[in-house]
Amino acid sequence: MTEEQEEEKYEEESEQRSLLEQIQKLGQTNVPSTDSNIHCLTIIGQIEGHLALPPKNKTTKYEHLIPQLVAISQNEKIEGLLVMLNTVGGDVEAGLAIAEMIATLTKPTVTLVIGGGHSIGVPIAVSSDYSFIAESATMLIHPVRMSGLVIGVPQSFDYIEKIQERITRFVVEHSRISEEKFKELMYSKASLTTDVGTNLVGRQAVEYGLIDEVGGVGSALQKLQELIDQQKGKPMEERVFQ
Amino acid sequence: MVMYTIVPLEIVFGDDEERPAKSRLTLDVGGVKLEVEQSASNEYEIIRLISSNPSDYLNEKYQPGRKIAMYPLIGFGETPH
Repeated sequence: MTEEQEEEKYEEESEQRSLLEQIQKLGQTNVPSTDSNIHCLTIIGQIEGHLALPPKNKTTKYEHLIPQLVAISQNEKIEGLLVMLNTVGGDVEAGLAIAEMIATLTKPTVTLVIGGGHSIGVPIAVSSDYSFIAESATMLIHPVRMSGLVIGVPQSFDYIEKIQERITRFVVEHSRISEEKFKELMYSKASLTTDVGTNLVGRQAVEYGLIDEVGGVGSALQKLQELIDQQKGKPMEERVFQ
Repeated sequence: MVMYTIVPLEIVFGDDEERPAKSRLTLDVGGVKLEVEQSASNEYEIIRLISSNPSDYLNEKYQPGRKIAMYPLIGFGETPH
């Protein structure tokens, strides 16, 4: 093959490549969607924040959730938000950001823990106006752990302690549990065989005051509708925006 | 970044060689996000739908497993809508 031919071949190939690179969505779908007055966020798997996790992890990404929460609070047709949780925890900052967004939303919010709402899922579970947990769902409360090589033990300890404090404060402020009780559950040695912490199953989470009620999707939707009606009944200036 | 999770970090960040990395994209289609995976040269399969509107999950066009065709689009400066 002469040099010229080779060059020509290369050009052809790169043209094809750039065509492939230009693949864009086509065929925009125009679907007459029935508008629901209640929107639903599902928080599943790992809560992914500042670092993209390897693809084998099922993740809920904060860059998806945060704009959705803004859109939900802006859209006049949406009257309430149901948050379904089945999460193993994840990034602290992302989790707290989502929890703060839900807590400060101006529309009625209800959370429902199904399966599990562990670790950083706990502040999200308590962030709503009213929280539910399924009878069989569990919530694992444990300390934030440090991993890898630790240089400067007192400083690192202080840093982790502060992170822990942010989580504890949020949970205590948004649920009926006291700080002492929450910390007691977190550092309990009696509940887990190989670790420090407590695994709360359904009703237990309600007994400790972490969650408001045991229930499923039916009771959660009913409660949300009740909160919506309550807010609608009040004159604008008297509406409590939590 | 601090992870607060019940999954051991070795598992979260462990090597991921078992599964070949397929080309995955997140598309914005009619206001919803679709996570798609390439199944043939001009064909993508819907893996996941991301939307807060519950009725989107009843829309058969967005059902996971559905194949969507995508073709190269040649534009000259302007993006057609």
